[in-house]
Amino acid sequence: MGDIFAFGFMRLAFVGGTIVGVLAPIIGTFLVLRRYGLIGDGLGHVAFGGVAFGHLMRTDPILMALVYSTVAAVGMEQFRVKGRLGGDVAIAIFLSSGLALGLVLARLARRSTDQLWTYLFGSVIALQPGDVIQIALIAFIVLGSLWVMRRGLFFVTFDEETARASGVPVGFYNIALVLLAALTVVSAIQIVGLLLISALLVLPVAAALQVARSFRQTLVLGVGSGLLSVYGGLIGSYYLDTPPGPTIVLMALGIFLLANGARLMSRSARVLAA
Amino acid sequence: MSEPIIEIEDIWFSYGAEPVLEGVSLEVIRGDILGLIGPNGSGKTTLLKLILGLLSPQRGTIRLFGQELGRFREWARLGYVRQRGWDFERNFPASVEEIVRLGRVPRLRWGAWRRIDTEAVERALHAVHIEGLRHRPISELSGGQQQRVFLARVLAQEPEILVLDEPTAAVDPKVEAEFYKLLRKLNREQGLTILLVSHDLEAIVTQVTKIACLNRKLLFCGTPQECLASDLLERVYVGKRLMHHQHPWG
Repeated sequence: MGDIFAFGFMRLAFVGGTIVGVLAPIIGTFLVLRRYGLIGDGLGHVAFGGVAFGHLMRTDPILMALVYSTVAAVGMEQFRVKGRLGGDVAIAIFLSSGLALGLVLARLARRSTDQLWTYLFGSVIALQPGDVIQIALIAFIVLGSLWVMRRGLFFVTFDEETARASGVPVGFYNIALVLLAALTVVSAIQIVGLLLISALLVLPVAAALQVARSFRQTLVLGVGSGLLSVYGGLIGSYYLDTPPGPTIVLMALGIFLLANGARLMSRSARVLAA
Repeated sequence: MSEPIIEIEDIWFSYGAEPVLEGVSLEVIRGDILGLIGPNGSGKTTLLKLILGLLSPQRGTIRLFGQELGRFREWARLGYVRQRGWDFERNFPASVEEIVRLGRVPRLRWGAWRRIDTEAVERALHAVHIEGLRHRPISELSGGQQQRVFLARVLAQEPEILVLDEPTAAVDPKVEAEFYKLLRKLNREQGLTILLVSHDLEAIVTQVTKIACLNRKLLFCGTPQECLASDLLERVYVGKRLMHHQHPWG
């Protein structure tokens, strides 16, 4: 198996994948428990608009993706809080218009579909050391912020109304969470791609929730499951010659199904024992 | 001991064109166990939400600890347990201890957890006798045990007044009696003031020191004995049986 690390791009892919494998399930835990699991999808599609705009303007597409998705994150949250529409409708509006905008701008920028493909589904082969540094920097900001805000964010996630009545600045935490989600989505563009990032935010957390008995366990098991998905997916894609992003996601799905099976079996065992 | 903790003066509130509260005035004095009763839809929960700053009145003033609500910032002095404990995700992954620790969040300085916070959590777990459950997931507990966890959370906050919205709606009568016994003990031994909302007069009449009856307007405020002697309740609850309402998620 050692030959997999003979290639520089694979070493970079493992480093970048490790960072995203840790980051996505941690922020994903808060999003899933707040029933905001689809926000990753919405932000991913909007970020695609940013990527295409970056190409059109001949600036850094990732930077543009960051700008687009952070603005959209605030917009979605405002829609949810102040609008007459639910959070799911807000996400649907941003998701479809983001993708549409991206496709139109890409056409105007005269980009081939191959180039778009790398953003939509990830391209670890094209990963440069600078990209990994960028991912690490984003992870540092997101994880640092989550660490500082963890107690208040957990309170708001558990029970928003009681947190508000206790003087916790709920609005601030909500905006902070979606902004950090936007940063996370952009950091994972090159690893799993914009269309599949929400799988890394949601699936490892869903797997962890099958067996976790506390919030802390959910975070730890979510990260474990995220890393296993990334490593399994990268190794699998190398030997099977399949695209890495989708392979990572299928790996995450497999882990979720296993965890779900384990939960059902332990429940049946308890019923039989009783 | 006659210091008013909550002063409500001529409060008016409506949802759209639907009036919910009309000119309600009420005082909660330190050391009271005040039971706020009234039929479903009488505005009890709305009044609580106004006191907690979750809603704003259209008219009237509310003062907490002598300070107008708009300027009040010391929310940690009020401990709130909402109806049904918490409102979503029955399988929320949280251990008992993690939930009780949340009570300290409003008390933390710059987010730093100190020894006094751990001590407050331990005292709260002990006060409601759930030390043995600390590592259990909340979702595995019975309705009565969950109620104790939420009470422990709010006790860990070390508030001066407990605000409880239908605290025993999800539990059976035996657990309910134990819960009220615990509240009376906290009131007696720790001097906690308690504001308790219930639609169930029978359940609380022997547990409280004062009763306020609400049905959009404040119809009565006095001792439980005065309340039972008046015919007011019959008029308020005409056609409604004062029974325990069991909820399906109990």
